[in-house]
Amino acid sequence: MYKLFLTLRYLRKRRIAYAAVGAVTLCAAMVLIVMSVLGGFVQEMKAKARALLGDVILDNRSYHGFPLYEELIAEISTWPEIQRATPVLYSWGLLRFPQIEQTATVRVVGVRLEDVYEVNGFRRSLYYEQHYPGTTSLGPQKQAILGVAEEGTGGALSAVPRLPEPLHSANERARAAGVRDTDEYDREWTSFRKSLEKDGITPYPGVFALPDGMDDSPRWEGEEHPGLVIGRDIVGVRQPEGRYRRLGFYPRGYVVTLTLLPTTEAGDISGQPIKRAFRYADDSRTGVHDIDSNYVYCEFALLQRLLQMDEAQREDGSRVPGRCSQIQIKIAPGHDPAKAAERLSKFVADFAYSGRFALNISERELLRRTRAETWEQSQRHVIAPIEKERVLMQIVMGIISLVAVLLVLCILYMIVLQKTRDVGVLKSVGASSTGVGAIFVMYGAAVGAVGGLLGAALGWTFMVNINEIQEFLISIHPGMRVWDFSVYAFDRIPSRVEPVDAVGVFVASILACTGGSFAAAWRAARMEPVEALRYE
Amino acid sequence: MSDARQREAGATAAAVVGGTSADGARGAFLRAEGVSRTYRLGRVEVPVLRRADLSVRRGEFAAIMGKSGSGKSTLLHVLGALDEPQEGQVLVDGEPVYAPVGRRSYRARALDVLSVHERRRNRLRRNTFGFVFQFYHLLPELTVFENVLVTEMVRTGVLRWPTARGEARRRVAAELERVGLSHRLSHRPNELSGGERQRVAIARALVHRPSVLLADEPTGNLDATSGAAIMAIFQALHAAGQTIVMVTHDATVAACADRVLHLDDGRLAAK
Repeated sequence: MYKLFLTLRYLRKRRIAYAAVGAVTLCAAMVLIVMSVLGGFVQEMKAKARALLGDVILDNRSYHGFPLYEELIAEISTWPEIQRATPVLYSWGLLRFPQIEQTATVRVVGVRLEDVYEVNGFRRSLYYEQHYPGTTSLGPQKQAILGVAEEGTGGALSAVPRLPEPLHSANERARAAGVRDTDEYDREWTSFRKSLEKDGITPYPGVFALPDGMDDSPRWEGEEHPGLVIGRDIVGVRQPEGRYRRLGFYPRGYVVTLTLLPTTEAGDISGQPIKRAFRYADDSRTGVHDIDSNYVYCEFALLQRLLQMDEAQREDGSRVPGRCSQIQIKIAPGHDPAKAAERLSKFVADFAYSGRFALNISERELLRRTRAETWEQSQRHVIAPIEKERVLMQIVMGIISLVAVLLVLCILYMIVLQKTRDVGVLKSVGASSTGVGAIFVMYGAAVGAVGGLLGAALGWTFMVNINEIQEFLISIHPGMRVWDFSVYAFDRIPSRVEPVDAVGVFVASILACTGGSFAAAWRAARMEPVEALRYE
Repeated sequence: MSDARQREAGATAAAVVGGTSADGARGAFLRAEGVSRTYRLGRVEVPVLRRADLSVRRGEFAAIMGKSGSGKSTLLHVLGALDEPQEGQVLVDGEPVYAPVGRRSYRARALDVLSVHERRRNRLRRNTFGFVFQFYHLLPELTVFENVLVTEMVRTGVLRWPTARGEARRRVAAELERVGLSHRLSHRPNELSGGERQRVAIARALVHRPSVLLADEPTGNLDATSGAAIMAIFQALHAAGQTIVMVTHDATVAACADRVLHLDDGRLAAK
């Protein structure tokens, strides 16, 4: 009992111990922050990769894709571990915004929207789809005009902004479901909305075209064009303070053009580039800068046709199978994606040589090279280096934390020297050497526990507010931005603290300080009571 | 104090000086036999005790006098299981305190719980002996009450403490009242006078009812008035049957004892 009693009393009364506690607090906080930022970065990367790719992907890493994807999907869809599979096409193109004379090279992705909603988390990244559920389409569509409608009865009629159906009803459903506007664009537009709110009018989220002419009723206008989902960072430019500025006034439904280079069956560029008009259907806001600043999404069948990768007939009457770049697969709950990927890889190899389909050598080779990978395996080139970096940083931080351990060692050793006579007194009243040593081990552990707890709390608080802290620093000077979204892929610093990391840091602090206290404890224990009593 | 102890206290104190007498040794509670202790000062070995013998009966008040550096304190430490002699043995109630000469470590073991002899020495210091030092040696972070209570904590052990705590606190309060410090319980040592500090040290040495009180120059650091007050306490304790071995260089103080021994050239002699 005296060990605990004296440990707590020394902790409270020896002010030098506060220095040790302070050092441990700072080290623990530092380690937790580094672990959380890098760990959060990896987690975010994994979550985004999984949300954008599905559980397993079939890919041959060839620009001109692989054939027999429909047959493959039909076969594997009967497997119990496969919940849903969808083909995806990747290409490159030139995106032009005619009204604002802006052109960008983009990665064009062909998707089947309904399927991709089921296979991965693409739907959650769509801004307008969140606020107007069910209205985002890659099919033919016109321009929605935000008009004016009369509301009220009799003499209390008033004109309010109104979107055409089904947008208006869809937005009412979203509002009823508690979806809050998260638009990060255009301060001017925000101030316009605020003025509407001031007049008791609830503004619509997003940006829509306004009527041009006498008829100001809400309506659909213009020629029908297929829809195109555009990455957030293509439509807008992120400002140093974090908000987005649109490249001019560019509302949903405006026309954009996409120029594509079709490829031959052999993988060469064939003929002339193809230009096609689309309507801007939605923003994709995945939060991954590389994706949001490069990717646009259109209908799979349309892109396949434009790239001349759809099914065709040769002059000799033989069939040229359609091709896709990738098949994204959702694995049924309770099944292991890695095992499913393994089975799929074997199946595709057999499938290529099954002889059930008339394939030429090139097509068979494209199919033979197709491999199944889990989302994690496909992203290992990104995830593995960050995980290594995380381990490396933990080692570096651990080495830095040794300073705290050495400080604890020095302080405790000093306290033992100061308390030499106390050691003699305790031994003279019958305390064992082991018991006396235990006081200083417990003292070290207590310094570690208090420092670790304070450090974990400090680190946690810092992490929770890390983006606000950065914004505050940027408000002082834009050059104080620490997290550059164009470098680190994500627009916000990962701020999630894993409780297990916090507990780990706390336990490690206790262990480290306990370790640091052994030398002092050993000296105290080995002290002869008579020498200790005579110590000056 | 039991009747038996009172009777023992009244019995004639027999000390065996300068050799072991069978008559004297018989019935002695605390006995040193041929104790030698040498200290090393650099390369020079300084013998402090040379085959010193001593027997103390229960209830006896023995004073040991000697010049400064004559080894009085060393003898007291050896008697109280604090310092291991190179030769000889100390017996408490007939039981040896130290390991046989060839198996002594002359250095505290960090894991002394693994050694039977070290455990026995700890037990003796915990239960049998009570120490009063010249410089009080109170723990400065603790209050008067806590300084005494810590002895009870050491003695009781963590598992028995929850049930023994109330009784221990009562005993500590009673002991501090006996030395006249019940009004100073929450004071810290630096808020007390020298005499008061020594009284706290006496309370600490007596709270666990030790068989032998070992006092090393208990008045050496006090003024005459405070010294007299401390000696009055010692005499009262002796009258109540407490066995006391006191080291002093002050003849007036030594006069309070039943008998006075003189340590000279590492050996004890009756004055």
